[in-house]
Formats: sequence, C-alpha cells, structure tokens
Amino acid sequence: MTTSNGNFDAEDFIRTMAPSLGLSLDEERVAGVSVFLSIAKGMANILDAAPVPENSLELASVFDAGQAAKPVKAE
Amino acid sequence: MTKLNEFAPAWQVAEAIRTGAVLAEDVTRAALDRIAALDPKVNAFTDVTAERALAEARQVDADRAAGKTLGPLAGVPMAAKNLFDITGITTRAGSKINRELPPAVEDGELLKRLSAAGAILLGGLNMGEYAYDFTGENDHDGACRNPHDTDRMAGGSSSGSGAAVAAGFAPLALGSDTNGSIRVPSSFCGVFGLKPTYGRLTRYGTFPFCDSLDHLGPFARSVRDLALAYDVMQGPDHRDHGCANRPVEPALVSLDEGISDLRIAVLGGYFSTDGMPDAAAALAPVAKALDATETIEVDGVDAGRAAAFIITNCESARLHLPNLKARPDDFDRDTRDRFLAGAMLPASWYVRALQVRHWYREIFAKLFETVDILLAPATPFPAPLVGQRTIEIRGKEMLTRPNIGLFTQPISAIGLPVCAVPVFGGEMPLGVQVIGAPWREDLCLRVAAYLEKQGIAATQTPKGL
Repeated sequence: MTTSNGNFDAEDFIRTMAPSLGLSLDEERVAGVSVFLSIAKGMANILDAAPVPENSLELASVFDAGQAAKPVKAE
Repeated sequence: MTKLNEFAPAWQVAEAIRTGAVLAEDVTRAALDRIAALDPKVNAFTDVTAERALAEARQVDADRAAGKTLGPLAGVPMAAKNLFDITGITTRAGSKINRELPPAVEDGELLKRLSAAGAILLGGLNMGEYAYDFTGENDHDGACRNPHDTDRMAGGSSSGSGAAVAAGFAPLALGSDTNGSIRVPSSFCGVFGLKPTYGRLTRYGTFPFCDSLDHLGPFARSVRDLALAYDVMQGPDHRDHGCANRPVEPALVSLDEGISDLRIAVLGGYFSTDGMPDAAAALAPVAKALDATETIEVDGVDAGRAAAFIITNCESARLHLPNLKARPDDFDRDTRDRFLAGAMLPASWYVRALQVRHWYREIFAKLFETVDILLAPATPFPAPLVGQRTIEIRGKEMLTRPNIGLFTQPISAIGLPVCAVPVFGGEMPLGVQVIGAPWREDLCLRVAAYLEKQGIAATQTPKGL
C-alpha cells in the first residue's frame, strides 16, 4: 500500500529516512508507520497554511543559560 | 465510630478523621478491601501499596492520638498514575520496557507534597503506554475499564486515575495531561479533573512524555477536593525546568465566591457540537447555568492542534528512539508505529510547530482581555466500547483514537488551565471543559464549584460495578 499526501509519498520517505536513524523496518512496518506519517504530513500542511506574520522570529522557547558560577576562593 | 460511605469526598474523610469519628486505618482498610473486591472488573491498579498505606494510616492515627496537628488531607486515600515515581516500585509508565528499570528510590515530588499533607498512597494506576493514548487500552497491563459500563473505555492516558476515582477506590488520584489525558478520562468516567497551567505543578519524579506539553494534575469526585489537593501541590521546584517560579496562589479560599463577576462564553467554530448530540447535550445545561449566551469563534484552532500534534510526535519519538531501534516489538502495537513516524519528522515541521504555537497563544491572550472563562466539551462523544476502532462524528464514520482528543488538544497546546466537569445527560457521562486564562486555575475551580452547587456537574455512583 502506498500512502500519499499530495506529492508526498510516505512510504518512500520512510525507506529513505530509516537508515539514517539506524532503524531497520520491514515492508509491513513501513506500511504501518506510513499511516501515521501521512497524518503528521496533514498536520504539517495545516501549520504551513497558518497565517503567521512572515517576520515572526518566535521560533522556540528562550534558552536559559542557567545560574552564574560561584566565585572560586583564592587559597 | 462512624462508617464513611466509599464515595465520601476527601475533605469529608479528612474531617471525620480529624474529629475522631473514624480511624485512618479503618478508612484505608475499607479502600483496600474495595479494590481487592472490585478492581478485577475495572483494572485501574497496576500496583497496590497496601503495607505502606496501612503504615501511613496508623501514623496518622498515632499523630492524632498524640494531639499533633494533622495536615489538610490526613488519612485521605489517594493513588497515582504509574508514571509517578513511588518508592520501592519500578516506574513502568504503562510500558513493558521500563519494568526492567530499578525501583524508584523516592516518591515523585507531587506525591511527597500530598503525603506531607497527610494523604495515604494506595498504589500505582494503569495508563496508556508512555502516555501516548486516549483510550485506556494497554497491551501489557490490559485495558482499564469504565466503572459506569465495564464494556467501555475509561479514556486515557490517565485511565486508572479516572476509573479509580469513579469506582470509589480513592477520592483523589494524580494523572498527567499532554494533549487531554486528564480531561478525557474525567469526561468518560464522569469525575472532576484539573489540568493546571503549563508550568504550575512540578513534574519532578515522573516519567516524561513530551517536555514542551506535559502537565500533571488531580482527579476527584468534588471540586473542593480538587482545590485542596491542588493547593498543597503548588510551589516552585528548580529540578523541573518547566516549573514556573511562582508563589503558591491558593484556589480553595475563593471557591464559593460565585460567578457574578465573571464573563463566560462558549467556544464555537472548531468547537461546534453540530452533529455531536451527546456533546451538545452536556454543554447546553452548563452554558445555561452560567448564563453564557455568547458563542465565540476563534481563529487558528486547527493550527494550534496541529502544532501540539507535531511537537508531541517529535519530542516523544526522540525520547524513545534508542528502544525503537533496539527492541521495537516490546512496544504496545498502538504506540510503536506512531513513535516511529515521529522519529522521522523533518526538523522544519517541528520548528514551524513551535512558531505557530507562539502565534496561536497570542490569539487566546487577546481573547482573554474580553472574557474570563471559555466553555467547550471535553470529548466529542461519551466513552466508546473497548476496542472500538471507528465512531460517527458529524455524520461521518471516523477513526476513534485520533478524534477523542479533538477538543482537548488545542487547549493544552498553549498550556491553558482547565477544570473538566462531569455531566450526566444520558446513560454515560460526558465532561465539559471550563477553560481559564493562564494562571487562573482559581476561576476555573470557582466556576466548577458553582456548577456543582447548582447540581449541573456532579459525579454518580457507577452502575457498572
């Protein structure tokens, strides 16, 4: 079974990606995973269509560098 | 000595113990006996900590006899989803794989805070594997069943938490909610559930699902019990980087202040109940009781839900990637392929999801300038049958699993506080979400308490047992 979402072929994508992640998937598993990857692709399409202002730079949470180190006492 | 009803609320149990009307040990023994007799039908518990519970109860009785001041939950039985660390027990998080880990050396922080208030831990509760679930089904531990009809789902992923409270095993339980896992079982099992603001309650000492979206919170059969538990669990904790550095903001004190000063509206558009008769029937009396005549359609809800979907899929898959590579067959069949798909998502999808989440948050921030509370159903339908793969929604046959969280996922996507309140219209209950602005759990609980007082939202004794 080939699961497509527009020009996106989920099964082809999985076969290409899996080795780079160290995953070994047989064809039955590729078919099973493709169902969920296709759902995710549908979600990604919704995200792409969201009218977020183009100049928005809020890409992620602000990273916290943590607490200042305690000064080291001179011996 | 008085004998308490097994469905007595936590505050009443605590009061009876405080005044000496009952012994904590007797209350605990009664709860353990009920679990032993009835849990085989429900399958809410995966671990029962009877010895610990009895020791804790005897300590409460001894403290009372010695004239010591008792905590606000002294002698109240509680239980926790099995992703909470419990001393001496392996934190399985609904999985087979995690059972190989060593037992926890200390309780999760929220359990510690409830124990410090005197609550008695009865055990760990069933859940969907690694919390990636809305059904309460589990390949390894078996399905957790709905106490109102044991042929039906309890809802997930905090299935045991909703079921244990509904079944009268404990007046209080803890669960987690990433996309709806407190509100869904609350809805299906007909109990109250509180998903606080993202960052309100520390997650230290629990097994994670998705760091950007994980919340913890309580289940109860009364709003007062939710507020009691919530208040003692608040407070900062530097060990959870997501925990906000906020002081305790008690909700119990304002619980009975009513709703006359609150602007309350119903969410429409994406949240419309057209073609969902059970959800519409649950929402209508709630909206009427609150005089919520305005329906507000909000932009971007489908995008907010999509952001939560992608963030969850991506972060959780990365967490489990080593085991997905090494031992995929040890995962639950219903989670494995979703995790595998999540491991392969392009980074640009994830980054876009983070960006949309920020944008979507601002839409609701603007909305909360004109309204205090929003209402929406918690689930599109009441509990389906265990194993039911499809369900009719808005006249179409749809897959059950992905659609259970239709109404909860867009709310937790931006971390808003919600109290799910149970409404019994037909044979099975269905919950309504009382949604507040960030950090206004007090208002959610105040509205829930009003609905409870009016008799609109209430729990019922399960007929399924």
